Amino acid sequence: MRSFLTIRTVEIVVCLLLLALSVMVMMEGVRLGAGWSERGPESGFFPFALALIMAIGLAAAAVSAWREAATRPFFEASEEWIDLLKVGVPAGLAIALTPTLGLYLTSGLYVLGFMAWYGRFPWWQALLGGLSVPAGLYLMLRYGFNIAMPMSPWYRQGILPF
Amino acid sequence: MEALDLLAIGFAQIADPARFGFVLLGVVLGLLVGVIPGVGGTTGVAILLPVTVYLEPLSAIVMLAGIYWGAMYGGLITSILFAVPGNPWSVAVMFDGRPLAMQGKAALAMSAGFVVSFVGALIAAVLFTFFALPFAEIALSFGPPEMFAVLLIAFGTFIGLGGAPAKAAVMIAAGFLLSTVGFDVVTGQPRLTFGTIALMQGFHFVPITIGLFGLGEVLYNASERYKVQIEEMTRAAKLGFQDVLDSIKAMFRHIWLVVFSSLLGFFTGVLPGAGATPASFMSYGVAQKLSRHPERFGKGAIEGVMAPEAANNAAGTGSVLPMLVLGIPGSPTAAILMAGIFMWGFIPGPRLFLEQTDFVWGFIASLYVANVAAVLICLTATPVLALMLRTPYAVLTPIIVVLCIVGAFAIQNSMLDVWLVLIFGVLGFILRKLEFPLAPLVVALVLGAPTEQALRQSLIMSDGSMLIFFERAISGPLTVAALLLLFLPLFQLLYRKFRQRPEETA
Repeated sequence: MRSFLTIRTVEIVVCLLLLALSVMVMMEGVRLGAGWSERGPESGFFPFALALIMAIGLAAAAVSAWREAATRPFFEASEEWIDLLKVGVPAGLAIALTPTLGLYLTSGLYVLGFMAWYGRFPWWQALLGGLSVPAGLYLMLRYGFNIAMPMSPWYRQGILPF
Repeated sequence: MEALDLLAIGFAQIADPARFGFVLLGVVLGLLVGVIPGVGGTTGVAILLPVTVYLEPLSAIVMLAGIYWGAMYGGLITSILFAVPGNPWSVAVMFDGRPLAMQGKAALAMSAGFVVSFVGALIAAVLFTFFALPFAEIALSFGPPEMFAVLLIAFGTFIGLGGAPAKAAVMIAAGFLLSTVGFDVVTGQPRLTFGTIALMQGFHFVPITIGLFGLGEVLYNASERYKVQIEEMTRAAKLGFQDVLDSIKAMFRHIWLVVFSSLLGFFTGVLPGAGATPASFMSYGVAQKLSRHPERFGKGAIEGVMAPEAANNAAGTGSVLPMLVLGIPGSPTAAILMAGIFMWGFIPGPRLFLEQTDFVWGFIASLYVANVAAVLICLTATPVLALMLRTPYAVLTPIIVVLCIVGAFAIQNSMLDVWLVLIFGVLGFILRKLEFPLAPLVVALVLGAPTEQALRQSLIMSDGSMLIFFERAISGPLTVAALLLLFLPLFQLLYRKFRQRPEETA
């Protein structure tokens, strides 16, 4: 993993992807009309011009990245991407589950799971965390600020209050 | 003086117990947030912003600003004790703070840092108080061309004075583009929506910021964790009375440096685009150059702690001034505060200053209150703050992520905003690794709409001629300055190429 994923590689790939995006935007700008009418720029002018500036900057960055020697690895040690995944994947899952399970249930499971798995806390401490965090949020959001949050399917069925 | 009368009104506003409580709450949260590595002041403000919609505007802004000020103080604790900067603007204090800690003088370094932070913030607050009205009056005569010129300077600062101009340009363009998604202000046509309904509402500033600075920080810290195991360092520092006295004495020995750093910080902060972070580095460099013993820097010179700390607090305070008066944030955090002002129903600018005196001067009064509170808490409760570091990572991280979700959803009850947090979190991580600066992206996102509006209004005024920017008395020099800044890196590049060729032929 270390040897082929260099900063240079990732930079060039990212620049090319963003370059493709800016080309898409330029085409959209042309579609909206990228000209200059009597009252100033048309609707598509700014998207076009901005995407053009972005493309030029990206090209410059890509070229200077191409020129440099491929010495610096993107992840300097395997711990980097391992830890990144260990933190990022649960976070991503929590976000993905929030619309279906509701915020309170998801946050409780997330805290419990993360404390137990990543933090290697004893089960009862993880449970404590998994209960107190949603409870605290519930008090603050429902009673304190009265802000609506996604709720679990059991809420919609009227079984649970969260 | 009119300013002092208005300030008195402001203090009367703040004296309300609930509002006072919010100032304190903000400062304490900021201290905690500043102490915890991986959650900076900007992150705290970004995540809590949506929650403040439900507060009254003055309480909201003094709380959020309190977080900003508190983080200014808290960040130096971890920088000095553990060489882990809690904020980007706390990096410079590490250079001499850490060696001092290794020499057993951590308490002295920290109390010096706190005292000097207070002085810096206070000087900036006074300057703020007296500059505010004149600025606002000048700003009243600002028409669209002047606004556009000042905004252009903001972007010019990023490109001309920041590192990596090409990448800054990309980020500015990207931020602008993100701000144009949605409906065209002038024609009402949907722009850049690519046919989807979801994109028609445009990108809200807040989830992008929460993603970049909230989740992005979490991811970045996850990847850097193997380098520093913070839980293993459990030395808590006690600040004794003697340390405080010694640090005050040290400050008076270098009082001119402290004052100068504060002034430097304030004006750097006022400059749109440069905030507390560049101010701290600049003043460290200047302090070293001006010192009689420059070789001591990096090894535990107390000036190396005092200069950046005075500057960063002053800059943070200063960065709010153009935001309130002109609607142009002087730092990314000020940009987030500005978004808040919009959310609470106000429009930053000279009219806000002159019409909403209670709000504005209540805020200015809170500058003094917050800093007094912060320095008192810091000097008395550092061990408690340092204890925050003992909070296990596995507890803190999911809480931060959940707060990001809450913050994003709270804005407009849209799950799309939460997905934006995830997308920009990952993007923020990658961009940070590739050394693309994030601040220009955020500032361009916030300033995109006003800049375009200013440009188009100016062109309507001039019937399509771009010369209007150069013809007017105020906007002319500003525009020229902005263009110089924008093209500065290009000139530097050409200059270097030009100098290489004669040497090659020789």
